[in-house]
Amino acid sequence: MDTILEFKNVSFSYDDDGNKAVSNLSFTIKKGEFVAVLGHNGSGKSTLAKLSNAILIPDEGQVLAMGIDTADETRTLEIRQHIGMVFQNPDNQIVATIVEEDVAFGPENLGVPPEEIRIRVDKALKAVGMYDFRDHEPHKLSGGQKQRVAIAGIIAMQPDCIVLDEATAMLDPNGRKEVIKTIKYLHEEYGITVVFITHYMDEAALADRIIVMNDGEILFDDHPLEVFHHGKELREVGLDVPQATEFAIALNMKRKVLTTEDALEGLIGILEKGSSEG
Amino acid sequence: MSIIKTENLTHLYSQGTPFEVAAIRNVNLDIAEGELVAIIGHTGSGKSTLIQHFNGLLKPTEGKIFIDGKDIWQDKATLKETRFKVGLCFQYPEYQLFEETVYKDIAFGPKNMELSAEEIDKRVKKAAKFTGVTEEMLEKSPFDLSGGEKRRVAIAGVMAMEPKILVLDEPTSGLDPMGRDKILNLIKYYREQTGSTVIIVSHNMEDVASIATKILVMNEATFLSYGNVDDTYSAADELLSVGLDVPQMTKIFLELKKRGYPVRTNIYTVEQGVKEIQKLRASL
Amino acid sequence: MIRDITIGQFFPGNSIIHKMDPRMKLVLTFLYIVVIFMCKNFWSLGLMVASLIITVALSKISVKTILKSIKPIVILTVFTAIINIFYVNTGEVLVKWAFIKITTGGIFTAIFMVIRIVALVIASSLLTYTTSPTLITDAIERLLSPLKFMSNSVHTIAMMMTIALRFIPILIDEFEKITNAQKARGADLETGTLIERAKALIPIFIPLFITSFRRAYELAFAMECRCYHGGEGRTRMKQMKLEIRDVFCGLFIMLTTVGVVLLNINFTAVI
Repeated sequence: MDTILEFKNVSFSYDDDGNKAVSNLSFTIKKGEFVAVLGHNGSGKSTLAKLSNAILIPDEGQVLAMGIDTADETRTLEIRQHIGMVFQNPDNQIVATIVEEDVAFGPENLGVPPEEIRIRVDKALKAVGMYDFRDHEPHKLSGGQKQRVAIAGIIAMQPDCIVLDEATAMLDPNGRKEVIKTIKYLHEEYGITVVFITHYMDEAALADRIIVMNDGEILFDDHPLEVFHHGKELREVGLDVPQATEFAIALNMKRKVLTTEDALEGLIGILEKGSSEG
Repeated sequence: MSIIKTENLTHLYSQGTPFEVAAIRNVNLDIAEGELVAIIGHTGSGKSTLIQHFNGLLKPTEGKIFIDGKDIWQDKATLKETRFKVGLCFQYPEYQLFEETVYKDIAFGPKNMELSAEEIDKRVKKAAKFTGVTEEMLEKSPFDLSGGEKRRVAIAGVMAMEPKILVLDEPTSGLDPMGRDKILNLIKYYREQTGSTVIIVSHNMEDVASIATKILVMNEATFLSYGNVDDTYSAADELLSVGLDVPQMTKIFLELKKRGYPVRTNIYTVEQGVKEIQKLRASL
Repeated sequence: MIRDITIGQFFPGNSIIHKMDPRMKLVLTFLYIVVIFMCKNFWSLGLMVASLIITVALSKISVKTILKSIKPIVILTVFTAIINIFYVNTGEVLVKWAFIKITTGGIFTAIFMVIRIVALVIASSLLTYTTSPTLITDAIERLLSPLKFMSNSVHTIAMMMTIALRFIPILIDEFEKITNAQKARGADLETGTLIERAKALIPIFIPLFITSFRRAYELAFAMECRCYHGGEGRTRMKQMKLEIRDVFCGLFIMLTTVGVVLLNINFTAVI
C-alpha cells in the first residue's frame, strides 16, 4: 500500500458554534515520507494529528488511514496499531513503572504472544537507544529519554506511520536533539513514515516536505526550501524562518539555503567570485 | 550599585550522603541594578538552583548572598523582605493559577504583602497593562484562557508584587514563535518602564540575545562568563565547546573566520551579518 | 523528606529472589507475616530471623538498603519498646522507682516485639524491592482470577494501582514545584492557626488537582492510542510460571513454619 494517510475535504469543530478547528483539509501522505506540519498554537495542527488515528472523527469529509475510513468504529484498533502517536508531555503517556514494561503495553493490548513481545520490546528499545535503561523507572529519566521510551512503546506495535504531536515542545535543546536523531534513524533504517508536528522551524527544515497550517487551513505544502522562501507570509502567521535562509535572501543568493553549511557555501561563492552568483 | 552579590555561593544536594552533588560551586557574582541579565546553560548546569537562592527559597550550603546590600540570611525579617523584593516566576507558571478570576489571581501576591485595597487594585491593573491582559480577561476564570494568555496572567501575578528584581525561569518554553516574541517584548517593555533589574533563565541564546544587556553563562555548577552580549559572542567557540547552541549567524561567521576571512565573530543577527559581509566585500 | 521512603521502591536485579514467580513471593510474604505472629519464644523467632537473613542474602540487595527500609519506622519501634518495658511486669524486678517498675519480662518482651516488627518490615520491603510494582499488581490480578465473575473489575483495579504507583513520584514533584511557586508569591504556609494553615493549602491543592485531571485526560488518550481496550484479549510479556526455585522456596518457608511450631511447643513462651 502506497498511501498511508488520506484527508479528503476534512472539517472538524470542537463546539457547536461553528468555529472550525480545521476546515476543508485535503492532502495525502505516502509511505516512507517525512512530513513536518508547521503552525502556531491553535492553527489546527494538533487536531490534524488526532484526526489521523481516529481519536477524532471528521464532521465533514473523510480520513483514510491505511485505506480504512476512521469513522468505521469496528476497525479503530487496527488503525491505531498502524498509525502510532507520540504526545507532547512525556510524563503523561508512560503507563508502567518500569521502562520495558511500558514498552510492552501496546503489544500486550494487541494480544501479541509473550515471547514475541519480549523480542519486539528489546528491538524497540535498541532502536531508540534505551536498551540499557530497560529496567529503570521512567520518572528518573530525562525528558528526552522519556520521550524515546514513548517512541519505543509505539515502535513495539510495529506501526507503518508515527505521528509526533509537538513531541519536542517540552524538552531542552539536548532532549530535542535526542528525539530528532531517533526519529531520523527510525525513518532511514526502518522506513517508517513520519508526521512531525512542531512549531520549531529548524526541526521542520529536516523534513522532505512541510505542511504549513494557519486557521485550520493549509497555507503551504511544499519542500522546506520553497516554504521558507515565503518568509514574509510565514512571519505574518506567527512563524519564523531559519536565520541562514533569511541571511541568504538578504544577500540575494541565488541558491536556496536552509542550514549554516548551505549559507556558508553560498557566501564563499559570493566572496570568491566577487559576484552574487552564489 | 550592585543589586545581587554572591560570595563563594555553594549549594550541595544530598549533603553527607554518597549521592552528594554540587548544584552550584563557589559562585561569585555581582549584578548591577537595572540590568537585564540572561542566564544561559543547559539542564543541570545549576541555573535553576542559582535563581532559587536569590529570593531565599534555597539556603546556601556555603557562602553568602546579598540582595540590595543586605545578607538575606542575617535574620528572619530580612528573609521575608527578600521574598517580596525578588519576584520569582517559575517555568510553566500557568500551572500555579488557582483563583476564580484572573483579577483575584494577580492580586494573590500583593494581598500576601498586606497592602491596602486601593494599592492592590492599582497594582493589579498596572501589571495587567504590562502583560496585555485586558479588562475583559480580568473577570474571566484563568482556566478559560489560552496557553499564552495564562502564561501572561501568571507573569502579571509576579509583576504585581512590584519586585525590585524580577526573575523568570524559562518564560518562553513551550510557546510558539509568536507567543515567545510577545513574552520577550513585554519583559523588555517592563524593564524599560520600571527600571527594575530583570533576570531571565533560558537555554536558548538566540531568544534572549535580542533583549539582554548582560549574559551569564553557566556550566557544570559554576559560571563560565559574565559580560555584555557582544563579549559573550566573541567567545562563541567556548560556548559551542560546552555544548551550548549559538545562533546560525554566529556559526556562519565563526566558520568564515576559520577559513581565513577577516570577519568579526560576535555576530548574532541577520542585519549584523549583512553589514559585515558588505564591509568585507568592500575591503577585498 | 518524602523522597527518603524506600518502601514500595524497586531495585532491579537478577537474583533468584528477583526471578521468583511474583505470585509465590506474594503468598510466601503473606505466610511469613502470619508465622512471625505465631512465634512464642526466642528460639522460634530466631529461626524466622535466620530464614529472613538467608532470603536477604539470596536477593543480593545491599544491607544498607535493607537498613534504610527500617528508617521510617524507628519511632514506632522505639515507642512499642518503651510501652512494653513499662507495662509488662513479669519476671525479676530490675528497677523500681515510684510507679515505674522495670522487669526482665518487660525487657524481653520489648526486644521480642522490636525484632518482630523489624523482621516484618524487612520481609515486606524485600517483596517490593525485588518485584516491580506492575508485577505485584499483575500477581494480585492473577491470584484473584479464579473469581471469574468479577475478573473484569479485578483487571481494572490492578491497572489503576499500576497507574497510581507510576504517578505518585510525579505528583510529589508537582506538589513541591507548586509550593515553591506560591511561596515565591508570598504564600505563608508555616505560621498561623490550624484553620489558617489549612486555608493556605488551597493555592497549592487547586492547581495540583487541575494538573492531575489534565494528566489523567492526556494519559487516557495515550492509552487509547496504544490500543488499550480493557483486559479482554490482553497478553503479558512477563509470564508467570512456577518453577523449581519457587517450589524450593515454598518448601523452605514450609519447613521454617514447621520448625516454628515445634520450637513453640518445646520451649517456654516469652509472650
